[in-house]
Amino acid sequence: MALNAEDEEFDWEPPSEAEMKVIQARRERQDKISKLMGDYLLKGYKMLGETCGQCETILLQDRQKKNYCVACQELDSDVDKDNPALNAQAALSQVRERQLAAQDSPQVGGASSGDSSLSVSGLPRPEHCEGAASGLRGPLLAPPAPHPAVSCAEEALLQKLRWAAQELQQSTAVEASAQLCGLIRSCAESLRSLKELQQP
Amino acid sequence: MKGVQPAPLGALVQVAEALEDVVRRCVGPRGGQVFFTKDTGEALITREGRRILTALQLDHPVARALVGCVSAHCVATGDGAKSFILLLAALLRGIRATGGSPVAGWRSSGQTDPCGRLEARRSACQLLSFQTQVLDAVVKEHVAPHATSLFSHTSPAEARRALRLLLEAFFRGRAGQVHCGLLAEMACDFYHRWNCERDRVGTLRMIRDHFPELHTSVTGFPTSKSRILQGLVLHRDLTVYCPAEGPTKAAVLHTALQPLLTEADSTLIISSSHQFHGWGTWVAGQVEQNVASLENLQVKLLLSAVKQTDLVLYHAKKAGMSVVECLDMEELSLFCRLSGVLPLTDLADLVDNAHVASVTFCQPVVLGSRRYTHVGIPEGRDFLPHCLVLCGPAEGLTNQCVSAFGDAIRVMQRVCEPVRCQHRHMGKRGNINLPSSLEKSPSSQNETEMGTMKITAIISQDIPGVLKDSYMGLEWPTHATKRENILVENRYTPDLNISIQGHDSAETTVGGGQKTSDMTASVKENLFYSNTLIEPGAVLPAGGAFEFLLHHYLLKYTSRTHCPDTQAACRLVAEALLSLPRQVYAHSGTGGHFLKVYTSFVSRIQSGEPARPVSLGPEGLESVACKYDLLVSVLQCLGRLLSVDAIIHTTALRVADQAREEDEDEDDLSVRAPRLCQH
Repeated sequence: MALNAEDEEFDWEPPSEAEMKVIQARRERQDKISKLMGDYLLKGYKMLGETCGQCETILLQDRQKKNYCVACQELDSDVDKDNPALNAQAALSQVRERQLAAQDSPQVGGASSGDSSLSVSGLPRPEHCEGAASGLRGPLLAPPAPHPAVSCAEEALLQKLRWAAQELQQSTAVEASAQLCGLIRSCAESLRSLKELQQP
Repeated sequence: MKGVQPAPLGALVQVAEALEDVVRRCVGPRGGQVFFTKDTGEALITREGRRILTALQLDHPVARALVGCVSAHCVATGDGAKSFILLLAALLRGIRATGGSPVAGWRSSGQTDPCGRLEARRSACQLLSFQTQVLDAVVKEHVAPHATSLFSHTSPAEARRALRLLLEAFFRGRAGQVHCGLLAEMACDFYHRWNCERDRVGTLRMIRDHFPELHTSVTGFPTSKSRILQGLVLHRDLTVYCPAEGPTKAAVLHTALQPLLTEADSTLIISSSHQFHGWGTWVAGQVEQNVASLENLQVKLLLSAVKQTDLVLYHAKKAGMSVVECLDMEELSLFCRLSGVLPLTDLADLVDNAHVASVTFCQPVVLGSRRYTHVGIPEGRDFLPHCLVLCGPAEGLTNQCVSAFGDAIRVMQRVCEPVRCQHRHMGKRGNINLPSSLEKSPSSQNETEMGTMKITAIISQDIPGVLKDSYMGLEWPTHATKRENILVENRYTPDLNISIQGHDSAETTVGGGQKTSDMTASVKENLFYSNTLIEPGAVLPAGGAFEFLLHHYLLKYTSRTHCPDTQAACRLVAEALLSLPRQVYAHSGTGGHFLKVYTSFVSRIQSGEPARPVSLGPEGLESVACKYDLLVSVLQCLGRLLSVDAIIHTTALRVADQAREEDEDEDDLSVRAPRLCQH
């Protein structure tokens, strides 16, 4: 053990930027945990002599004798929404980031891997799995370019719609107005189906 | 039984940080207060650190040990619970940060981590040796010269102002902005009225020991109605009151004046009514005789610890004596001490004048809703007794006021005592060489007074098993004519760390004026053991001056020393010290205050100016001795906590916890039923 310690000392280097980020994030997490614990102690919770099985934080007990872990039940639910493994939105945002990174320049992968190592390595909760799966399944990319025939048809329909509307304003006969209304209705339906055609 | 748990550094840091977060809201003159409510409806608003920490419900053994250390420190010094926790948490964070590689050092606390524990133990040893080797030297040589003395002012008005600044800074942290001026003024007044200047440490010690008897708390009045009364207030009403003009005499009784019919556990057999009447006549005769002998000694006030019978009261009233019954033993012993008499335990001692005290007046006094007895005590050798009436609108606030005042007296006592080096430098046997300059004192005294010189020995605090600050009187003769060194052998245990100081009585017997101070100074310098770190009365400007100075000089020391362990310890303590002023200035508006204050202070020190007031903020003074005590206590507590290897859980409740649980049962009656069901 002593020899290993000596070897480590000789090989010691200053921590890299990724490691500094990890340390900083951990320190902030510890600060948040302490602040929450202080708040609960002042509210009358009892500090127990046991630690949580998952995150090793000291457990608190309320008046109803229910045990409460500050990190698992309060802090990590805030962190979850940024954790890509547990949340769909976070996964999507991470995929977009990767795409941007791939387009611009190769970045250091240490930072992102450091962020993911922050995650609590507990059991994944069932209600989040589906979200994650659905999130990862359906990448929402930019909509595809519209087909030229469809745009032509749209233009023609819009022109006809405009002409029909003008004719309707000027017409006095009942039958002509009814026919024009029918024309406007069918133009609108056509436009709707064209739009559905564009979106898959 | 939960079993045996390892005691990792991570758990220690977590506990310390949680307590730090609780306490940090109340630190400094602009800190907040904590509002406590009980199930019974009682409410308390306080910013006293010790009360807040003891009110928290803590089952974690490390947390309980920590709060125990804090309580012990507060009992000894009167102040510093919040600063204790802040400093401890900062030191622990520093130790954790330096333990091993940065990422590995944050290993989760549950894993058995022999490397981490070893590092923690190493840090504990480093800190303890830091205290003995480095801290004392740095404080003595660098920090203490910057301090001014409370007792060095030439005019009494200046001295009073300095004392008031010290007390104001204390009360601002304890009682808040509103009442701090009033309480500080009252404490200053109290100090001066007792004539503490003649024998500061002794008088303050007596006031502190008897503080529960020297104050009366009155609920329902604003705090500004508090005042100081001359003499003593006995917390019982007069049973028989016969007004008497001018000074009278008093006797303290521990027994009843009427003789008892029988002893306990014995049977009296009365054979006839004639015998019973005879006995009754005899008893009446005895009572009359006792009261008459008291009257012969001109006693007009009877202070009795027990209840006297109606016959006694009747005779006392006939003789014109006032009677107070059922007094506490502590109050009576204080009265005896202040007036210098012995209490009457045996009726046969009635002829002796040593049991009769003189009082200047005796009258009833109404404080709040109760009537008490107010007696005046003539001026003693060293002091003039006074007592306090402390008022508050609600009971909780009155109690807070009372405890703050008591702690202020303890702080004043600590300021007036010098701080000595806690360990021996040299010398194995207890030989002490006194210099020949002792004989230079003026020979205006008579032979017998010059012949013996009383020097009291003060045993320093850290010796285990010895009462702190206990005094032993050592007397040895001095030869007025011969100019030779006097060797005194230590008759007591040579292993005790004894330091000798010229006691005030030595000053008075040998002679006054400048020569006396020269003598005591030379006595101090030439003694082997005595090594005063901090002079009595040393104060620095409040607001972080001590922390800045010590930080600056510790970093300078780091550059001078070559041992890496010492350097690491110095840096650790220097960084942790700054957490205190950082927290104090965090409350006051913008965050840039701390840095501004720090840099301006350090530039002034480096340019050689004396340490002027630091702030930004109201002016105040703080005692160097108290700050030094705090740092030493924190280092020792930390050393003890870090050397814990394992925590063993047992099911046996401590007595105090059992009592507390019983109290809780009484308080929340509504919860009682489900609790019993569970058992």
